[in-house]
Amino acid sequence: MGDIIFARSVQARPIGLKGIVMEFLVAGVSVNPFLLAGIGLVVGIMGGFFGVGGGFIAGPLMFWMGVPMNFVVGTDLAHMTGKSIVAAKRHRTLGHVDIKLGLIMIAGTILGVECGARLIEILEARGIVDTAVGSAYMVILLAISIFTCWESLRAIRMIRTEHLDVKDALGFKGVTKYVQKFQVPPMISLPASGIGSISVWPILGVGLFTGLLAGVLGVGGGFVRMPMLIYLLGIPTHVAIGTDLFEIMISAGFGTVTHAIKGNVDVIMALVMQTGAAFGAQIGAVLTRYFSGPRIRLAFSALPLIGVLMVLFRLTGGGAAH
Amino acid sequence: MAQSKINNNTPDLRILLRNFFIELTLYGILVVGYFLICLRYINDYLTNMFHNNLVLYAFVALILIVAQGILLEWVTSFLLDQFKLDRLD
Repeated sequence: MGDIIFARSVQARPIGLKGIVMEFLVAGVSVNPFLLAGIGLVVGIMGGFFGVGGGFIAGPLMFWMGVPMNFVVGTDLAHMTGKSIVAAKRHRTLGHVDIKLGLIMIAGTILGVECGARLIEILEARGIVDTAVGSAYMVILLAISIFTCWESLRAIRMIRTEHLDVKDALGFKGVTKYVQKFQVPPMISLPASGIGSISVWPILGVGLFTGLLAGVLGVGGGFVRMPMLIYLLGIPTHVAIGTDLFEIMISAGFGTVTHAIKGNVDVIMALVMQTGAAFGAQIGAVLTRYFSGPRIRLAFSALPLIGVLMVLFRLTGGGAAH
Repeated sequence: MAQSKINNNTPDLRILLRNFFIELTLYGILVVGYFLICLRYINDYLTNMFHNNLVLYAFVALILIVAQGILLEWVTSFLLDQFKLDRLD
C-alpha cells in the first residue's frame, strides 16, 4: 500500500525517519513529512492550550526546513485554520467559546489589519520598517510576558493566602473595572463570558489593536489578544482561549483563501501539518480543563519570549523569521 | 487533580481518560486516512489546479482543510456514540 500511495510523492531511504523526504509538488520542495507533522503536533498542543495560532514558531521552523517564505506564510495559515477549527470545536463543547464576543471582535480586527498594512507601507517608504517593527514587536512581547508572569504569580499567591476557591482568580483588575464602567452605547451582554453589560467599543478596540499588530507584524496576534481579553475586558481565561481560537479560525481561513489565490499555499503540506496539529489541538484543549486560569497564564507568559528571540535572531541577521 | 471534582454522579476519571485515548486513536486513524486518500487520489488534480486555476484551487484547499476539521470530528463523535463511550467533555 505504501509503495502505491507514496510512489510519486515520497522517496524513502533506509536510514530511519531522518532520511524520509516527501516531494511537495505545489511548493516544489522535498521535506521530511514527519518533521512537518511534528511541528504541527507541537503548535497544535500550544494552540489548544493557550489559544494561539503558533505561527511565530511554525513559520521559522518551516523556513529552516527549506520551505520558500511565501509558502511558509500561506501554508502556515492554512494549517492554522484546520487546527483552530478542531480546537475551537473542542473548546465550544467545553463551554469556552463566546461567539458573540468573537464576531464583534472580528469587525475590529479586519479594520485593524487594513490600517496595519497601510502603516507598513508608510514605514517602508521611510526605510525604517525592519527596525521600527522589530523593536515594537520586542517591547510589546516583553511587556506581555513580564506582566502576565507577575499577575499570574500574584493570583496564585492570592488563592493560597486568601484561600479563594476560584478557578480563575485575577491578580490585576484595575483596567477591567474601568472598561466595564465605560457605559457608552451600544451596550451588550456576554452571558458566555459571565458579563452582564459591556459597551461594544472596548471589544471593537481590542479587535482593532490586535488587527493592527497582525497587519504590522505579520502574525496572527493570538498571544496579544488572549491577555487583552482577560485583563481589559475581564473575560475568564478559558473563555478567552476558546474565543481567541474562534477568531483565529475565521481570520486564518480568510488569509488561506487570499494567499492561495496568490499561489502561496501548498494544501498537501498543510494537511501533513494538520495531521499532527489536529491531534495536538484535541490534547491541548482538553488539558485546559485540568489547569486553573492563573496556572495557564503563568505557563503562557513564557511564550512571548520565544517570539522575542525569533525577532532578535532576524534583526541580528541570523535568518528570516516569520 | 481533577479527581476531587468528581462526585458519584459523574463517570470515573480513569474511564473518561481511557475513552479519550480511544477517541484520540480513532481520530488519529481517520486523520491519517484522510490525508493518505487526499495524497493518493487528488494530489495530481490539485497540482494541475494550482497551475491552471488558482481561484478554484484556493476554495478546494479551504474545503479540504475545513472538511478535515469538521467532518472527521463528526465521524469520531458518531463512532463514540455508537460504542456508547462517555466523552471527557
